[in-house]
Amino acid sequence: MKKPFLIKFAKNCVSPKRVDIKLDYEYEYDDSVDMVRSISDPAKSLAIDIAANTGPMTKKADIEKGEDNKDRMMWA
Amino acid sequence: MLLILSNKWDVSVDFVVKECRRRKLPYLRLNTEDLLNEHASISVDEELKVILTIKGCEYDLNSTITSIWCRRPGKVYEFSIDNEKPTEAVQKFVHEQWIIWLEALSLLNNVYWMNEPSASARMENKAIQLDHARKAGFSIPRTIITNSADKVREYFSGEQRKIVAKALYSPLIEEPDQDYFIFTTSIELEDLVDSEVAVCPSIFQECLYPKRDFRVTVIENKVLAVEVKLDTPEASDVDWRKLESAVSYEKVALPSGMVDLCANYVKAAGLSFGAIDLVECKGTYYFLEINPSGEWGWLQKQIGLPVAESLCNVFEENIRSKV
Repeated sequence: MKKPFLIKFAKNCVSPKRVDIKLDYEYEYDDSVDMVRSISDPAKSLAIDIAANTGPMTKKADIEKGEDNKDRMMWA
Repeated sequence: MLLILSNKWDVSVDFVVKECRRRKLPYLRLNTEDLLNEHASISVDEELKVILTIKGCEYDLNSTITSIWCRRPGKVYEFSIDNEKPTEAVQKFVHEQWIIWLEALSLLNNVYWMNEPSASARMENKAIQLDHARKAGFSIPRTIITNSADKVREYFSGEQRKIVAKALYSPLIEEPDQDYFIFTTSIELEDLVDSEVAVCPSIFQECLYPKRDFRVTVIENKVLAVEVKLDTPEASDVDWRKLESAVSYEKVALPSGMVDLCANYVKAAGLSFGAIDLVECKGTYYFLEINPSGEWGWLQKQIGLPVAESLCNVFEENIRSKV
């Protein structure tokens, strides 16, 4: 069976199985403030306050700078 | 009060939450993966009642919500571990029930939506986007959307052999163990394989080169433009998103006519938010596409693009106007 033409241009995203991301995630959602915190940071800083290069990245960070509206887990 | 529809790991929302808290703007963040543990009811017997219980607090949405930011609601089982998930078919069933419940929030009286879901869904269609853009006055690249390789060859006959190919809809392929992303790619007409092109329609466009890329985030009348800078020009490609290290971003001012065009386009499309991709080629700005739910957190974080502040300005204005 023929694959769609564009498939040959597909690249792997960084993301492993979504469940693995959750289990290994170094961030946690803080219900008390409705924001994500870094677990590894001694001060448990908000993820958005961590420097760009060390904070959460998009899931396709190794091959892409950008976004996709269908990607529901951008920063994992 | 602002109701935010998203998921816990949508960290871009955190910028807005933080700004809401700084301004003391009342908000309610509803993460879709929590819906399994919350209570949500709608009754329409005598008067509309929409009740949502979050973290033990009950909210009458019809009397408390002034704005809804439909940011990125996900699937309720999306982050559940495998042994807690029902079958794929049941997951789909459950997800659809919740989506319809969330869509019914359109019943709420006098609520401002960013964006209204049906408008977003319509504007996800790239053919509609391009048609709107042409009618609005944008230049657009010559484009054919087809599953016929012959039509592509015919359409671009006599022109450059190099063209651009991209997906008509979501370029993300989610396999159980690995996701794939189809970037916009430059091809030669000779690369077309008739039987493969025939499988589904794709977008084939004129290749604009040399070009400068712009990401334009529109929030109502606020237009925030960023130029995507390629540090090594030789690294230039049709899709800057695939470049690993040769990309940086710079806030820029677009020509005023282009600012108005972007703002008017979003408004005419029935949206209040949109992320537009433009390119400038040989002095002409071209509309490539709009993403009604476009991501922006990476620009806020890296170069301080004030998207969260601009969003909160709109939400705050709506809250204040309805007090």
